[in-house]
Amino acid sequence: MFDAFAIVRANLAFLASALLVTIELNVASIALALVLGAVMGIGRVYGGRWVDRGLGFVIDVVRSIPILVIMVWVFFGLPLLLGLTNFPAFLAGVLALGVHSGAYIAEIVRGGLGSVRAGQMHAALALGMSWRQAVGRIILPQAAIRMMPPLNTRIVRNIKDSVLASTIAVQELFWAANLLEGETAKPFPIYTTLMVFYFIMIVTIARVLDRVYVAVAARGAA
Amino acid sequence: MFYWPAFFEAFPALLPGLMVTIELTVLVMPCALIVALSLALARLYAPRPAARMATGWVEFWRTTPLLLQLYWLYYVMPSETGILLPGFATVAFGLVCNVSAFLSENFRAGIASIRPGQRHAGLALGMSERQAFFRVVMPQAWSRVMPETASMWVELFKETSLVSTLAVADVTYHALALRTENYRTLEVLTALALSYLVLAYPQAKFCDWLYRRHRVRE
Repeated sequence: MFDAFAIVRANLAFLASALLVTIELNVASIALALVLGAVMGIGRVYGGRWVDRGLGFVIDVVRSIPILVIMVWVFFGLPLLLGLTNFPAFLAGVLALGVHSGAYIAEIVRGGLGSVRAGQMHAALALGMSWRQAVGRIILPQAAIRMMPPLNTRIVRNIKDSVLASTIAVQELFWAANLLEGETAKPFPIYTTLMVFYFIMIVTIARVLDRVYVAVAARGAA
Repeated sequence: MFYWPAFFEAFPALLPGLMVTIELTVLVMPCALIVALSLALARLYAPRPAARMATGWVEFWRTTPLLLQLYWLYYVMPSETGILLPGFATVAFGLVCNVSAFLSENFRAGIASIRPGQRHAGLALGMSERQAFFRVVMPQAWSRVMPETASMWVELFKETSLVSTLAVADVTYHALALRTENYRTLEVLTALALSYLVLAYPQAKFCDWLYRRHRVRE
């Protein structure tokens, strides 16, 4: 029974190197998504009516297209549009995941900023703070804690979506598993191991993120 | 650079695939709703071991990547159990399991958010448990879970694109095949993205409206 998994044990080093790519892909794309999300979310709340509408449209467009389609479009289509050659798959994966998650995060940021009562802003301005200081020191710190639960959900979702980068040949964990399956024709041990691994990894990450939130939640209370 | 005729010609070629995408969504959603309600009820009202099992089942489908789930069903299930379903049925089954897990979490929270006093009042008026649930608790819970359920529908519509990796001829599959035939990659993929956009955008806007309309006021 357990000999079935010998194929996995024999290729642990290969799978570990692919796991590293999965981690890099997620760290880079989540970082990009947070930056994009923060900029677009703040733009929607404070940028005035037309910025709000414009960004709202862009966000809805991104949210209406499946991540797989965004991914193949960025990898195969974008380089043609820009006249680039040798567009790296990893970069395409980071861009696609980052923009996709960024659009969802923008809505989370918008909701979080909106949940801080207007009196907080007025009080900060009344104390002589500049708008920038008021947003940076008063509004954002309170909003950030309230944004954490949906942000955590989105981070977990990003990790799950990152397996789609295998379709554009980013050499991450699922890509490596498919390669191994193609060579050995042993789907059971390979995909089952991967399933268990993702389950443990994602449950662990979700737990840790939740603990962090619980530890700071009181600071965000209204 | 962008060859417009290839872009316009892509749409008729994508149409049969679009029908498969819609078919899959329309077929999976009702099944998922029924499974999700059963799971939610099992988690809330079934004896503890059954409730635990339902929770474990839901957690499993919620915390692993959908693509991996579909691959597992497509490649491992036939080789290990001898059950050989057609590709369409396999991915439809996988999508039902995945979507129902997310929906059941939503249903469970919605039902649990209705105060127990509502059920007690129903029982006090002489209703049976079943009547109290379906006539008192469910209608109130439904308006709380409906917006989330509608977004899950849009989510499902987009997620069906993953079946293209398993040779189910949905719209994404057609686009990727067409791309290798005419080499008009940018035009074909843009047409693909636009197809999803035109169909999903109004649905997403409808969801936003539902959220505004059914906002919970305590």
